Amino acid sequence: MRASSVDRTRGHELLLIDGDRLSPGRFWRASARDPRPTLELAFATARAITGLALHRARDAERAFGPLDVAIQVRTADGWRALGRISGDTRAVARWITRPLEVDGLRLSLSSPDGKPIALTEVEVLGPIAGSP
Amino acid sequence: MIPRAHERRELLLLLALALVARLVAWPFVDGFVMPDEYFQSLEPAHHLVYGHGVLAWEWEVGIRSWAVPYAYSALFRIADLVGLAGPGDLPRVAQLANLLLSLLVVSSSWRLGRTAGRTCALVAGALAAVFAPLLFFAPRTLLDCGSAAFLVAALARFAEATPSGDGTAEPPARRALLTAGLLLGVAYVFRYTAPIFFIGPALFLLARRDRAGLAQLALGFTLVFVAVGALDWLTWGRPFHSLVAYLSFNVVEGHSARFGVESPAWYLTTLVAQLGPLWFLSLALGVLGLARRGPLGACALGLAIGLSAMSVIAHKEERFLLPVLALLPPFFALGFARLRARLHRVGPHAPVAAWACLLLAFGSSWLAWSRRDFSPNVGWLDAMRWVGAHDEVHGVLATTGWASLGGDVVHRRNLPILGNARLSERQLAPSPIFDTLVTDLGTLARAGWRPGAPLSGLSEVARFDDVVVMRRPPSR
Repeated sequence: MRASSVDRTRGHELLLIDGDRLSPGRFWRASARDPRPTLELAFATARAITGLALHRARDAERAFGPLDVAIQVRTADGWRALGRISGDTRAVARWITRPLEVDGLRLSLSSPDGKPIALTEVEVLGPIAGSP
Repeated sequence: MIPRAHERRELLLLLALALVARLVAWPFVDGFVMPDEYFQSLEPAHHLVYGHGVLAWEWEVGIRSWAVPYAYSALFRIADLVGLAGPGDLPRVAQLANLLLSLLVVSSSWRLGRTAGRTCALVAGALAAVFAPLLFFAPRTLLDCGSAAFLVAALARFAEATPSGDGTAEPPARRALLTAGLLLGVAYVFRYTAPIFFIGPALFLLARRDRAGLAQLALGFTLVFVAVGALDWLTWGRPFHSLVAYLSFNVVEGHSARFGVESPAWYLTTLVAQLGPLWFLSLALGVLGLARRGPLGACALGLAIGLSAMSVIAHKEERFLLPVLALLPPFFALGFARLRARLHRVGPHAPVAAWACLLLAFGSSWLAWSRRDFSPNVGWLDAMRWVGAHDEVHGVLATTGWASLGGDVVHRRNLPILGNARLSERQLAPSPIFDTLVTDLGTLARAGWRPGAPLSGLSEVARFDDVVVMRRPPSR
């Protein structure tokens, strides 16, 4: 997991994949100076994905502001834009797609109302074992 | 005034004495007086060179210039090239650079003293060479240390360039005033409040109607001022952003009071405490030295204005006193010279009393500083150096705040660190990332820990003073 920036006084990008979505302080927050916070997740080998669940960290006002996410995936053909989440205000922002073999994900995050960008976990959804 | 050959020899001897004194004291100077020692200079420099580091809030808001971190980043690149970039190395390299920079205070003290004669110059230089507070702060990477060094150098240049009698400075001296302005500008780069200490000299030139001298001083300062404004444009996106943000935060919005408020007399009482049991003797010498006319009087006025302005501001810190501490040796020497001259009229042996006063005042200050911990908070930094030397550490839970851990420049790794962690079962539960706990004996005792026993599966692996490093044994 790589982040274009991180506010190290408030978290670390590795905490997005530590399996802990609830403990206080265990999150990632982009630097306020980062004009385009981006996360890049590289898989060791290509794998099938069916979606994403982005677990949100509450911002300073103790509320989830709207979140926009542009999603790109890396396949054998290279990077391509696959979808986006727009203005999501839920604690877990979800994006679902048909099963797709990818070896990397790139998320470009922004807040339409200029609030800090922070997540507690990036959960990559895959096909249920045994499903066709 | 260009030093003559014998003067240059004397100055070199004083600088050698100062260097030896600083190098002897350096191994005892560690830890940090203020976390800012790391987070206002070294850590942003580390971020510039290695792409990771903890950028404190001020680097988000933009109340500092990037000039100082850029200077340190150049030093780090050189250190890296010669293989001095392991855990704990880079701060030591920066400290050595600061230690060498502090010699500027010694030569400036000598220059200020020289305006009152050779003996005064030698005493001023010798005092600055071994004055305990200056040894304590010499290697520290606080912005105040750099600012004070250049500020005292600027005042010394001003005092040398300005004739004591009536009249304006000659052309060569005017060029020295340009240098004084440049040095003041560099002092300002480190600390935006530095020019307050130059109000006295500026008023002095105004009162003399020395417009050309004042213009040279202003030109020197403006050159640096504009350069810093331009750097802000490149780094923060608008000219003079950091100055505007600094003034807005500290003066207009008054947020500095959030970091603690002290009484207006705090600086004076702190200073008295640092002068030791014979503080009254030191103050008497200082007042004798300060009560002067001419350019030295203007420097004294600048010092008084600076101290008064700082006393009015609610938030106070010991390190803000550094310009005052750095100017004590020359003003002690000037006071001593005046006392010696007066006692000379009493009798041929009477000046011995002046020497006795000087030595007693100096010894008193040393006594006060000998009780000082030269390595405050060093246990936390040692623990993080240990973390840096152990690749098996993936993440650190620390029961202190991140500011007490020195940042990536100390351990040299891009690690998740969770500060202000509590010793609860939930916080200490096995985690794929947080496998190391850095805490202190007091916190452990409050959690009911018995030395040698494990805590939630974590065992002690290292101890530095009262700071304990605990790790979970690797699972089989």
